[in-house]
Amino acid sequence: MTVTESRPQYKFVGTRPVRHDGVDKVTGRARFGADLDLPGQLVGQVVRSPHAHARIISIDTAVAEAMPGVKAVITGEDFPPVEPGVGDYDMCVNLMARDRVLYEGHALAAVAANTAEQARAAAAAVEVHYELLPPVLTIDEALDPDSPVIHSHLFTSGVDPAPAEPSNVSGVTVFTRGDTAAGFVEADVIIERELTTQPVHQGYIEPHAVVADTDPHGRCTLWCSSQGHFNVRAQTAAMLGWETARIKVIPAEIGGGFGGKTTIYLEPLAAELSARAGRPVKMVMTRAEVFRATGPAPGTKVRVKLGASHDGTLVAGKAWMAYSTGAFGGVAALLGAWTVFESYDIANFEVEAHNVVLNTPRSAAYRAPSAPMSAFATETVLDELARALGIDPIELRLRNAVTQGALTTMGAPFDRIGFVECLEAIRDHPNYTAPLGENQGRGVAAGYWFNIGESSSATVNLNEDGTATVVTGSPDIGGSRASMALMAAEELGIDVYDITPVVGDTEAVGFTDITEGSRATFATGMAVVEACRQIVTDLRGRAAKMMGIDVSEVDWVDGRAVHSGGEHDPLPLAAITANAKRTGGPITATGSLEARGVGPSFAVHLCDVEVDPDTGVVRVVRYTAAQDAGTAIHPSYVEGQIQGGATQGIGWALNEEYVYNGDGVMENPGFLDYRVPVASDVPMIDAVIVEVPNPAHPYGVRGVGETSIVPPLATMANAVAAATGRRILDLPMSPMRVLDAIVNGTGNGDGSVTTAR
Amino acid sequence: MTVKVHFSSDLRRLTGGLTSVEASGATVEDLIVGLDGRFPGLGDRLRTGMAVVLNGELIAHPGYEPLDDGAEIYFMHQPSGG
Amino acid sequence: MSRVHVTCTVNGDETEFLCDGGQSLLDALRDEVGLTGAKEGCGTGDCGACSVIVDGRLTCICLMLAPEAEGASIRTVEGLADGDNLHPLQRCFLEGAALQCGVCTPGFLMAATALLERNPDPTETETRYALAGNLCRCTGYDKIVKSVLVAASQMNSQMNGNNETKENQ
Repeated sequence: MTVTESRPQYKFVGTRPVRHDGVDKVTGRARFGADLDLPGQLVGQVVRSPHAHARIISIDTAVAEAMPGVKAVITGEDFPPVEPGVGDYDMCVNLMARDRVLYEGHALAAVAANTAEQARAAAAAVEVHYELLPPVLTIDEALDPDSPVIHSHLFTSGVDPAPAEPSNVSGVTVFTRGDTAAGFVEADVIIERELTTQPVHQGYIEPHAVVADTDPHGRCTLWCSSQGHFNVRAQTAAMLGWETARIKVIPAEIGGGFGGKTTIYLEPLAAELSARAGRPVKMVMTRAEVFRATGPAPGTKVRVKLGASHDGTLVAGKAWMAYSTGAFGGVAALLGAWTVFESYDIANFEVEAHNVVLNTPRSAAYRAPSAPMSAFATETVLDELARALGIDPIELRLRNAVTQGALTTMGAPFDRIGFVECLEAIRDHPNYTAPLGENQGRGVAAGYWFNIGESSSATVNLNEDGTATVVTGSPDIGGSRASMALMAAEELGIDVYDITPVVGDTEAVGFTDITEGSRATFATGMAVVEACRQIVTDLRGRAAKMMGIDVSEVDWVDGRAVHSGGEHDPLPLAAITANAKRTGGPITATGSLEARGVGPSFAVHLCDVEVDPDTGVVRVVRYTAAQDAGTAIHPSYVEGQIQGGATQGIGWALNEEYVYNGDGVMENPGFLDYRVPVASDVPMIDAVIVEVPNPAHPYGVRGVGETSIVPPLATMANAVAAATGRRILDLPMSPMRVLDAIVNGTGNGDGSVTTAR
Repeated sequence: MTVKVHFSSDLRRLTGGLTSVEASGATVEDLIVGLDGRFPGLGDRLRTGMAVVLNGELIAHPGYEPLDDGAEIYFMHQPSGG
Repeated sequence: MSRVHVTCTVNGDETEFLCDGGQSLLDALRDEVGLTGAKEGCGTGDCGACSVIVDGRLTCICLMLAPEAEGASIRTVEGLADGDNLHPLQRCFLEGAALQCGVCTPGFLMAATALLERNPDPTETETRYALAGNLCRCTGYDKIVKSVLVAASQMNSQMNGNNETKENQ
């Protein structure tokens, strides 16, 4: 189902062609990160810490180096020195420990050998002497002043006065508006809740993989899957201390990222091993390594307090938030503080968010980073407010939803946004009033993501026969090649299948930022449109030459140059490309830009669950998700983003969590014990595309990749509360926890209300 | 060019509690230089990780963006994503 | 260490390879035979990305030793299409946008093939349980399940059409 505001009718944009890379992906031909082998290739293996926190007394590699087939062994000492707070310190130390290991799975050495078996044996033979240090494993421990401080160089940023002592809080973000205390005095109903979530993994099916080939002149080619190969180049160069131009990165197909492949783990290790061994080196992570050493999303502890008047107007909000970013600082708390009240027009609020460091893997971005947890808190409290006030939960949100002109958390006004339209789409959906069965409950929640712009480049080459090649620098994670081709087809007026969309390597196309922040179709699409418009200008000039008229008399209509006077027959694009040599040479253009005017995307999700009162198992009965796409370039892949994000959120809400033992060793580093949703866990996800075009984009695109994971946590929790009468505030809502809430009545499901007066 | 400058509220600790001021500059960078004179330390903060909203458009890296007289400019954090 | 010589049939072709005794069939197919359609997502049989059909049975070959393939008949995603003619499942996956990143797709196609050979007309629930050994993190399974059901119905109507033609003759 699609709900569309008035916009131009397009010929290609909004259609559903088979994606251009599709046949390769259903026949096994597509080459992902681990699918490439080079002649003479060695196998690299990382040595990882078995301890969550320890000082490295010594690393002895002599035995490993002497083992059969071993060609190179490296440790932190083989990389340029690093200094806290300078450059990419966190990334460099995360990829290769120096004096300390900071979490279980932390890399501390790497070997390259002829075979995988030899590499594994050599890695096991690297002798490390540790002095064990006490690990800090939870947010509460980290904030306890009596706990060890993980980094003696870490002084909390964002507070006044600047702290005199280091701590486990890397930064604090405070946003305020109005007079919060006075606002709460005005409130008729106030509800405050403390909620927690556990770290979860992005769970991409393809483990990290790279092949590095460093030649004798020091030039290195990397084949790897990532969300951004220009970023791989920059980060690899930074860690190795190399000039950027020494490194070429060729993007492999990427088997899922969700934010987790916006940073690097293996590339500089493979490049350095290859340089030392003089042979290509391939490194592929095991699933256990992916869990233990790559980016989970932060765990959180959040207190949200909201006050409303009897008519449902939110008059005050207060949030205290803590995000655990693992062994290093990050921006998680900022993003949490930014998003916690962003969707609602609240006159008075105070938000204080803490970025907390632990002896766990360094967290990485995960789809709308930090927003699912902040929305879990706000949307849970809103659900309770709706009950307390006797107002329909969508009506309550409609009364407070931000619209154009309302202020964002940071003070700037929103441009045209589609939150109200999403709320109305769910309110008017038949699933909102479908009858519920026994033990079933209905939940609704909203979510928001601001999306990002950043830099993109696209080169469009017209071929002799009138077909076109569109080269961009954005790795295609979920069908963006098809979106680029659709926008190019619309601009050039040729068939979408006459366009070949290509992801170019770092030497084949201009700099392009990472495919993240839902930016590829938005920003790289803008670059494609810009290049196509240059091409059309060029085509009109060539046609004018061929017709012998002034270019001002030539219009571009439906893939043909048309003489406005009508005396000359129209020239189709292929007739112009066939004459390219005679009219000035190759027809090619590059669009490169720093995209502006990114448009936020809102979503509202609706879910019915059935809770088994004997086992606590939650079954998802119906799921409906409405999201503002701006304009859906390829609606099937917009629906896919909505359905995929919703399902990830369902997993986050019900099953997924990192489980550590008391020593900080992860106990579930595999898909058997870290349970992501499977096909039998979910129903069809009814995706409702709302189209409120972004005024700043040539086709109204907002970016759709991330918002869909924001609402599900609260949607599920609200549905479980409705089904059981028990409010569960700690995720995941595993059967044990749900059963405990049902049997022991924990989880304050009575919706207890604190009245202001 | 005189413009109205709005600060994200977390910057208040660097602006003596003010959330908006009048200031002048031909470009965003000019503006920042002037603001740093008034609020020492603010300049570095505004140059790292801060975007602006100008004429309704979010500009993530505003540095040399020209300013029109009477414009309103909002300093906010650069968005990031997954 | 001496290597083991294995002779088997892969996608209808007699295939020989040398492998280590402890090598998985997945590694052998990828590294020795050169078929990289089957992927390693976990190495523990939990994700299904390495699903192929061994002697008619859907198998996670990250958990099967390569020497066990001696004499076996193996079908992988590379053998699903008939030349340039895609299998109905492949076609329906494309038309139904049943893949985003595509890394799990070969495994899903083989799991769906095994399902439809066993049960040509599955319900949605049967399809979901049959595919529950395959993880997809991108799609939420909606379009995968729909595409399998559409392919089943197309294959059945084609088969019924053929039967009717025979009856008419």
